Amino acid sequence: MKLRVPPDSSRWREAEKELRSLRGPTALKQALRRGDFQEMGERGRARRWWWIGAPSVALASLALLLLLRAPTAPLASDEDLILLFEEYQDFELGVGANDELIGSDVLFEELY
Amino acid sequence: MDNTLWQELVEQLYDPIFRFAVHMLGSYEDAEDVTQQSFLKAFHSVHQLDDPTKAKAWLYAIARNQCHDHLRSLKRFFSLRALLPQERCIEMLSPIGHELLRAIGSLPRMQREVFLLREWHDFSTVETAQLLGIAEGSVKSHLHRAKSALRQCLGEQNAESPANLDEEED
Repeated sequence: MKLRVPPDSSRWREAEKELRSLRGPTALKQALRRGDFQEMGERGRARRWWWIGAPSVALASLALLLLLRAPTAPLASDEDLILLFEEYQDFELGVGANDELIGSDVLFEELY
Repeated sequence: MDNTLWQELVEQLYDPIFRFAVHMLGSYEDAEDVTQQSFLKAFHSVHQLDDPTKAKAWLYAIARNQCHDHLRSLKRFFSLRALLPQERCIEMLSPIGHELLRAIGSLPRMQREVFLLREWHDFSTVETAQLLGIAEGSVKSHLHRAKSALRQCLGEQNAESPANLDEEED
């Protein structure tokens, strides 16, 4: 793994100092000192909700929304198809899937 | 357990255990969970602690196990948390702090643990060997490999690296 930040001694030392002086949240420390494990349990549940529960619900909702929306969204409106047909009408013949020549009405059916 | 003793234990070891968990997991939130679980376990099994002078090593051993359990659970289950940016960690650390944390996280597990305990958490070679259940010679070789890997990782063939990487191992 190559680091993106070019090494620079003073900056690296600062980073090291930063990592070695991290402190935990004071509220948790106080709860631990009191031995208040019920409060800690609630904190844990709340944290898990925000970090696991909430994104899961948001993703599930999004998936459901896409699922519900998918069949109702038309690929092309009737108007688009008519315009397309009119364009193809200029050509008497088209080429089918098996390289056979087909008339514009068959082509329209394929397009539709 | 004597309430004063417990408070003293929390006072002395809360921040170091939290830091150790951040260094091991690379996440502020996960570290908070692991710290909480470690102290909870300590609270319930404190009767196993015969010698109060060994409280530090004992609590670190619990925290290390909790970190392993946490990492296993992240591997076992698809975790959305693993995909999300560690916002609170980003808030607390500078970009270069993140890079250093990632470099440490990229080390093999035993090298990472030896490096952290010996260099950043003030454990002696003997204490580290006892805590990790390996020979003292293995501690030294893991530490040497960890430092070499970090030097390479930091791309500092010509530049200086963090202080501890420059020191000679004992």
